[in-house]
Amino acid sequence: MKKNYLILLPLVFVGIISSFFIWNLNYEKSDTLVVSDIPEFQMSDLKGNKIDRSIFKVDEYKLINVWATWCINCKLEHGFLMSLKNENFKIIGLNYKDNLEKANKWLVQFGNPYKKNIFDQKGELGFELGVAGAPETYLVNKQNKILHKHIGIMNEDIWIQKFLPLIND
Amino acid sequence: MIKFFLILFFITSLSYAEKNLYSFNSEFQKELFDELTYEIGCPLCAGSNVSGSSAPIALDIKEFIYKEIINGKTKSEIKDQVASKFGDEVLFAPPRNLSTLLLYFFPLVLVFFSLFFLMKARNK
Repeated sequence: MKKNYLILLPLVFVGIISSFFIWNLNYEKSDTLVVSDIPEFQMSDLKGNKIDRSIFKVDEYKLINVWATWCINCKLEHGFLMSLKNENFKIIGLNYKDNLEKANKWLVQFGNPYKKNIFDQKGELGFELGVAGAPETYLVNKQNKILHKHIGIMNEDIWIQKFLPLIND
Repeated sequence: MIKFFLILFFITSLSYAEKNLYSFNSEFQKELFDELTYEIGCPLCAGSNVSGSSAPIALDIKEFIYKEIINGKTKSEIKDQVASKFGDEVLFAPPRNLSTLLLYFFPLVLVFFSLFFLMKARNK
């Protein structure tokens, strides 16, 4: 009788390991909750005007959306960003490693959801913020701290599940 | 056919040339660069370090590591800086804490279990 139990042991063992792996499958590596500040910067916008950190106004929540005309997924999330804009949510665009002319054309053609756009041709500010690619969307709180980083396409579901719970406080 | 192989030959020489893009003041700095680019992962390419990746972000990170080495930063300072921007996941040697305990000790546990069952089987 005792022997039969021992035979089951490897099975139990494999079961524990598998459940651990399956549990980890649902762990989203991309969504890291690092609270960090917006660094100082001197850049220009898509019109050539100088802008700096003061465009991040205190006492309001805002999004940083990393986008580029070469980024196909940015086109897919564009509609959702437009709907956020229509709800008066402030989005600051970080135009990442892009072409100025193409970027302006894109905004005319598809609409402009951004309050301000930072033209980051070399990805320098992007690097400071930890941008690995586009699209990425960051939630910035009233004290100008980044509360949440989302890598990939933004949509209604992600907005409701990941962003709204952090805003309602 | 010969043209094809010639092209292949030049492609590989190009990738070797890339390694010598950075020039260092000392052998120590060069080794530090090799170690760091080996131990820091590319945030967009699963399982690959920045040394073995030519993704744009990996090139940016290499450039950053190079500049910081020239500025005289230490290995752990540079690692901390990269991790603070891109998250702990980019470090290939995860910190030893409770959540990574299994990661480090699981191989040992596995060996002991196998030995245990091997002995059982032999004693039969």
